[in-house]
Amino acid sequence: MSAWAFVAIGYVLAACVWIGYLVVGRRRTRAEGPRQ
Amino acid sequence: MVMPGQRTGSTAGRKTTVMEEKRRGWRPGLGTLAGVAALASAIMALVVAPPDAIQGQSQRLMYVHVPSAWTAYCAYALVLFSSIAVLLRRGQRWDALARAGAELGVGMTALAIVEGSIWGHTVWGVWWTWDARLVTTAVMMFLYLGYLVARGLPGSPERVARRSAWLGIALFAQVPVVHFSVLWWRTLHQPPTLLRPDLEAPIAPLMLAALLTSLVAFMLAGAWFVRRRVAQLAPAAAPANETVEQPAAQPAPVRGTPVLARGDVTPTGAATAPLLLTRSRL
Repeated sequence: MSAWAFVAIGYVLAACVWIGYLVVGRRRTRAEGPRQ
Repeated sequence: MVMPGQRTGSTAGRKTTVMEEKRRGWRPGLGTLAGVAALASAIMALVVAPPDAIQGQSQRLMYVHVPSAWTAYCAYALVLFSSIAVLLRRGQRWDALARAGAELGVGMTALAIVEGSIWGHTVWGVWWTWDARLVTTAVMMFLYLGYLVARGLPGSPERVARRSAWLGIALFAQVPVVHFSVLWWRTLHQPPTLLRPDLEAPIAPLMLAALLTSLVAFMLAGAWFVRRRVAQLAPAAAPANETVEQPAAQPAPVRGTPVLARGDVTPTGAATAPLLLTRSRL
C-alpha cells in the first residue's frame, strides 16, 4: 500500500470517530425524563 | 404544514414547538464553526502543507494524530477542573462536564493511538512497540475508561459525583507522565515539536499552520460535543443538587371520594408521602 492509502485510512477513521461523537451528542436522552 | 410556534407534540404528551425544537436541537454556531475548521484543516493538511523531507506523504497523519492527543489532554484537564468544582460547589452540571470530558478524552486517546499505529507502521515498520510514550498513553486511556465504568457503580447521584470527582483528580497525574515520557525515557517516539521545554518549534511554517488549523478544528468539535453532552446529562433548568418535588399525575377525583393532600392519611391508614425526585441526569 502506498503512503497515501494509509493517510486516507487515517483521515476516514478520524471522520468516523467524530461522526460517532456527533451521533452521541445529538441523541435525545432528555426525553426520557428524570431518573428516580 | 407546521408553522413556527405551532405545537408538534403528538408523541407521548411532549409539549414541544418548532421553535423549542430549534432551540434545543442543532446549534449552528459552534457546530458550523467546527465543520468549517475541519474542512479548512483537511485542505491545509492534504493539499497546502508540503510532504516531509524524510517520511514523505505518511507524515500527513500527524495533522490528525497530534490534535487527537492534544484534545485528549484538554479533555482530561476538563475532567480535573470539573472534578475540583464538584467537590467545592457540588454541582451536578460540573459532574456532567467531567463525564463528558472523560468520554471525549477516551475517544481522542484511542484515535491518537490508532493514528499513531498507522503512522508507526509506515515509518517504523511496526504497528506497535513497547515504547514509553505508547505504553503510558494506553495506560491513560484504560485509566479513564475505568473512570467511566466506575461512574456506573451503585450509589446516589451525589455519592457517585463525589466519588468520581476524587478519581478524576487522581487520574490526571497520568497526563504529565504521558507528555514527558519522551523526555524522561529513551523512546522510539519523537520528542515534542511544539510544547517543548526550550519553547522552540522546529517545524516548517506551512506545516505549523496546518497543524494549528487542525488543532482548532478538533478543539471546536470537542467543545461542541461537550456542550451538547452536558445539555443531555444535566439540563440547564436543573440547578446544582436541586431536589424538586415532582407533581404526581393526579387522576380525576371520583365523585364522593375525598381529595387528600400530601401528608394526609388515607382511609387505609397509609400516608401520602410526597414524591421526591432528584433532577440529576447521571
